[in-house]
Amino acid sequence: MEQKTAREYIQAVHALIKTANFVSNAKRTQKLSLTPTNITTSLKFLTNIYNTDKNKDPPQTCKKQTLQDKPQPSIYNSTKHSSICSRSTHRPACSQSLSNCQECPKLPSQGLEEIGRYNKNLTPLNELKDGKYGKIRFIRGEHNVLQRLLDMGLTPGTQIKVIKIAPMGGPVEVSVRGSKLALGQDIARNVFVEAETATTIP
Amino acid sequence: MSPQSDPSNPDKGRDAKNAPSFTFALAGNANVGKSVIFNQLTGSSQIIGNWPGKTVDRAEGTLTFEGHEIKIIDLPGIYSFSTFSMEERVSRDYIALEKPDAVINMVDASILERNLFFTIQLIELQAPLVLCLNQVDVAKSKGMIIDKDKLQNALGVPVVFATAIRGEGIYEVIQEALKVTDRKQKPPTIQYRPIIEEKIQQLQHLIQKEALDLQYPSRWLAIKLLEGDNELTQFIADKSKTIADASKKIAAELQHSCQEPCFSLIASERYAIASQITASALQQSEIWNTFSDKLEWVTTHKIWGYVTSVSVIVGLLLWTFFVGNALSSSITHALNFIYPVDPALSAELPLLTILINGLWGGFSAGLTLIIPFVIPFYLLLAVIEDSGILTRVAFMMDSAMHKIGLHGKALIPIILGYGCSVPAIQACKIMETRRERLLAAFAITFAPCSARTLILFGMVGLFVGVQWALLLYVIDVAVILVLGRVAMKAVPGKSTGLIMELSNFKMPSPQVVLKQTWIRTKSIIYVVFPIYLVGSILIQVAYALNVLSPLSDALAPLTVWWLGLPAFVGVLLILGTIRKEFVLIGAVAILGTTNLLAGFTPVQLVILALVAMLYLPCVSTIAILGKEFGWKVAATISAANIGSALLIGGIMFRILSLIIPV
Repeated sequence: MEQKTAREYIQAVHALIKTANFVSNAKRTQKLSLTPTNITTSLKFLTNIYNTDKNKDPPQTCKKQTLQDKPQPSIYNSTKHSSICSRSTHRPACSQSLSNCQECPKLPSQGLEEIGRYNKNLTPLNELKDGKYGKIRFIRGEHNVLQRLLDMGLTPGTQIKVIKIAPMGGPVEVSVRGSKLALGQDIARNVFVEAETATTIP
Repeated sequence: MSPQSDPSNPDKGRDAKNAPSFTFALAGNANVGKSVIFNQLTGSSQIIGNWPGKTVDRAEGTLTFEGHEIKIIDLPGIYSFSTFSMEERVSRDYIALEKPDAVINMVDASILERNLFFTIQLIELQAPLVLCLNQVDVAKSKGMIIDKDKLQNALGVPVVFATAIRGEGIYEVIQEALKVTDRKQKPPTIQYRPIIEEKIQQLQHLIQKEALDLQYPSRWLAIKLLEGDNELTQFIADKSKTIADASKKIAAELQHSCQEPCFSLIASERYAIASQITASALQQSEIWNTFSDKLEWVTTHKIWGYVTSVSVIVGLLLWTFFVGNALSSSITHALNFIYPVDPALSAELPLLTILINGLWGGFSAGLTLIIPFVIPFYLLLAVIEDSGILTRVAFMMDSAMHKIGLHGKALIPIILGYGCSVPAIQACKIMETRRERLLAAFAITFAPCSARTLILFGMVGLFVGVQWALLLYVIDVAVILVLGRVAMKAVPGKSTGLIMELSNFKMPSPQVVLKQTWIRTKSIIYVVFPIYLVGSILIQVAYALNVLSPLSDALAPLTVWWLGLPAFVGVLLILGTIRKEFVLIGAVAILGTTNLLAGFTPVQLVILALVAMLYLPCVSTIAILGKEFGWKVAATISAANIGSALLIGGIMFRILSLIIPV
């Protein structure tokens, strides 16, 4: 049940293209830590979105873009926009290829909510190095997960320290407000922090 | 501000003779020592351990203190009052609706800020509160010095320092709690920042104006409605549409003006307050590398972490076998000295012989095959539980557990399942969704509980060889992984991620470990031992009277043809559903000797142990499965167990017969 935003996906592809002309599925898989099947479905999905968008009136606002294992037909017909959607500063910015909001695919929020504000200088928690600090700026996830993270003290603006990331896609151990927590990879990669160079006591 | 101006609970004072009786509740985050203080206060024996989420249902006990009869309620550990989990709802409703005379908020002094987040919510709930700052010694060792007066003034709530494990500060806590009930004093209001405070008050006035008969404090209700708490929004929608609409509107306004969802705003605000209070009351001197930090480094290291995790899991079993084996053989020698077991039934007094043989058989089987393994097992389990290493094992094994649709936390109940499946299945409540609880419980029904370990070691380890017993464990783990994966595909839904607090490492306290071991062993000796004796006699009588042969014959195709076992095993397997140990006890009773090689070949022992390990959860496990998940699930799981046991047992028999000629 991997979830990836189209933005992350395209960014990954872009980053890889810079280093080589040809990007293999295996490379993409590695970069996004997805299974090859997921990549294939994702590609099909993107093509689908592209085709659908050409035939339809583009939406006025950007929406959160989430790639799921299976394309869900209903999402192409969705016309409803959530209130969060209009706050363009709150969600990950669109990738270059979809920089124009008019090109954005119409995707429902897939039950995901977000807190804080996104900007492109933020780093997901799982990409922070061991022992590094960051300030939480943006979290995306299901309501229950967000509520639990908030309860545990991961509120926007809080300083967080990555103590250790377990090998093989394991959880991230963080220290926040004096307590130690283990966050699974799926959660950690949706917690975005502003990396700090100075190491101060949290 | 406090709507509950009704003088007292109706039931209070009913059973009072001279001094009034009170009810105190223990509330707080998970793993702060609520159960420790509960045991200290009530002298009861709640299981305690160093991992979050042990207390799943609330526990009750009584205490007589200076002539007062005090009922103590131990609530499950929670981090907030949002109602996503059962525990949160149970605790919230208990405090808000049943209104205990005092709430003792247990706080981990070394994680003050996170704990105060919950304290603030208790204050909002207008609970008559006493703050018990526990583990002050741990905080001190981390270089934290807490100013009690400042904390007291900032919160407006009495604060007591305690080190519950040593019993320090407990007297004072109860004294303070009694004072709180005397004064009937409610904690003061905690002000939010103006932009939020304004909205809270706006909604609160509306709620007060409607003058509904609400059990909850109006300010707390207003905050919860703004947060968008599902259950309370529904509750209010049923009572008053005006308030429901107004709260929706006010929440939307707040969200718009702050550009942030309300639930996040309010949590951030509470944390801002907690942080401010902590900063004023806590002095943090330099942090140095403590022993616990070094342990931390080892147990989560990319190589050593796995080594420790595996040694915890395998070491527990090896230790059980080697210590158990040594104990078992010395007890056997001692027993043989007293009463050389004679398998031959005496011809003159058959009934008496049967009785004596049955009694003696059951007794000696219990003493030589069960007790020696149970005690070292529970001893080490208690050490592991108390040390705080379990959460690290969960941390390291998270990615592996994802393969069977679970996350690392599920490993905690599964390791507890080594002890007994019943509490382990109850401990599945630490998992977030029903699907995960179900998958974890399914895995537990295959996990080798102590009874199965006894069968493995008592049958295979002692008579065939310890390497065979360990091989059976490996097979068992493989079965758990394969069937877990199948179950993951079969049960719809998706996995949630891991969010788990890592508990502090500590030196296991010998007192706690010994007590824990005793509690668990006691239940075996007092409750289960008599069952062994009676069961053993009944088996002998029934076997002597040949009552059981029709049963054995009916099962013969399975037991004899498919599994290659002696026919009387059918009876053992049926008896084993009551308690798995009966497979072992029954075998001893029927053979009339504790030397099982008298009736089985080594291959048969291996197969019987394998089948007994997998074939069906015992009656108590089926009962708890039915209670937690419904009877359909319990039946499905049982069927899955029987099916896999027969399949694997049969295949194993054929393989082994090829390798080892009988």
